[in-house]
Amino acid sequence: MRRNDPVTILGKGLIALFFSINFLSTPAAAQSAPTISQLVANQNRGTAPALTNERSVMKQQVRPTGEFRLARQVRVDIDWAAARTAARNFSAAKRNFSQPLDKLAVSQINMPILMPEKLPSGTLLMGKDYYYHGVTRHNGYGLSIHGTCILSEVRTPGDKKAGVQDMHIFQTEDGMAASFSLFGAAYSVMMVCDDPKNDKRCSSQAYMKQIVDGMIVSLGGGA
Amino acid sequence: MKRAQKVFLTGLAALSLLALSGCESDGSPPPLPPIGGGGTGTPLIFRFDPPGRLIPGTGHDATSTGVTSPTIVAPGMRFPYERGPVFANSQVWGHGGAGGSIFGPAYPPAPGGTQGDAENYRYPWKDNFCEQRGWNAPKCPAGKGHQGQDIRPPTCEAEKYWAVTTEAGRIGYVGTVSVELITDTGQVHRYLHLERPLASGIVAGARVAKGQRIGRISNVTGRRSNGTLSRATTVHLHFEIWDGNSDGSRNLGVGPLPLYTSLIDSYRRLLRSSPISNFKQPLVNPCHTH
Repeated sequence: MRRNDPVTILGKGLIALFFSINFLSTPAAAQSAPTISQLVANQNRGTAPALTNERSVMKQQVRPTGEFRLARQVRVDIDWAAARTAARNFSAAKRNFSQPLDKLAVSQINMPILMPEKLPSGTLLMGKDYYYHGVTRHNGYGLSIHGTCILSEVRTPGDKKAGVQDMHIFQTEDGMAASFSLFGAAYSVMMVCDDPKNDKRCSSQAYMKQIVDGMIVSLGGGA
Repeated sequence: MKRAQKVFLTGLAALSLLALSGCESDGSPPPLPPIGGGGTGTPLIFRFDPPGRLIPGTGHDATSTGVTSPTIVAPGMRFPYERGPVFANSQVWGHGGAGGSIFGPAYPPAPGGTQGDAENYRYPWKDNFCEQRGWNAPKCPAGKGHQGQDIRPPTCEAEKYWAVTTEAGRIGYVGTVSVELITDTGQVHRYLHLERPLASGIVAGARVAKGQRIGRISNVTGRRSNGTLSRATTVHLHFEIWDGNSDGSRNLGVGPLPLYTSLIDSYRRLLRSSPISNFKQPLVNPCHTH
């Protein structure tokens, strides 16, 4: 009799709802923080994002000689909301840096900082306001990570081919590189090899993608 | 008599001015100081082919060119060699290069000979950003190609000439093949094939001034598992500039940018500010073959 009473049914429903919400919002969600390449893909949906709120940053420096002209430079705005969500998701998934980033360097960088989750000893972080550069050393190669909010406008016929992929992964003279935009900023991750001709990792797109997906985000000093 | 002397001196001055102003091939150069009389007696006058003009057939496909844009991406940078004269041109399709043999029969052969051939050490400069390499280079018209510019030193002697920092900044990753300069303007300038050890104090994270020595020009291409260096290229500096870039409407990430024009611009400034002796070709180039 009491089992079918509306109050009991409502109570059971609320308990079930509580557990299901609790279940969805903790362990399952924690294990599914999107990787960097997923964030790039979800953001771009096949084309690179349009530039917004451009500000000319080119100060009159040295005048170019002869017939040449300076590239126009713009500063892009950071999508801090997206960066914060990504940082929160990584944290909820217990993906944190294996050792703290250099606090002083972080405080000087006004953009989201992508770095490998597993930071080897000797990791370097440098930069200021609109750019940063990270350096890590691994067995047989190093990583050189660069991010910037300043873009030089250089139009070439090759641009038509760009943006079709979410992330460009390509070979370099001494390793592999990934180039992409995320949170409004521009990034590259370079794998610089000791023996690029003979180390098979140094020509593997899959390995390069794995390196990028082993990275997480810190919000920098501007957050 | 005095009048004759005056006329003679005026004529001499006019001739000197003519000689000084005809230093480049681009039509309307500002007046420049003399650019090194060659040690062999041949005047060395800086000339360059236009941006994007590759050796015919050496683009990714038969018709593709390099980047023809007159845009400079690194305004005010110092030229990456300490002194001249230096020679920007193709290593693969120059004398002593492997030519099309490494890319297939569709590509032209190299002219033969050795890297020391005198023709490799002559102006005009030649752009080789986007020259065929088989790997992707997003800014190249074909989407593939060489991601930097190759520059030969005054002679083909290894370990004799210095690469220097183009801007003040910090040293980034120091690899076996490459050294990075992170400029205070936020660009990545990459120097490849330098000899080891590098110049004193060039280690990751070091603060450097503009024009500081980084390392000696050489031909290093890797370090084998037994610790020895491999040297599978000619003696030259391969130089790259990486930065964030756009096509005017889209953020295209950070990648290798066309740099030939920035190099010409900075070389011109180096020519103007350096003693003529820094741009004389050595009397005898020990590598030259005829």
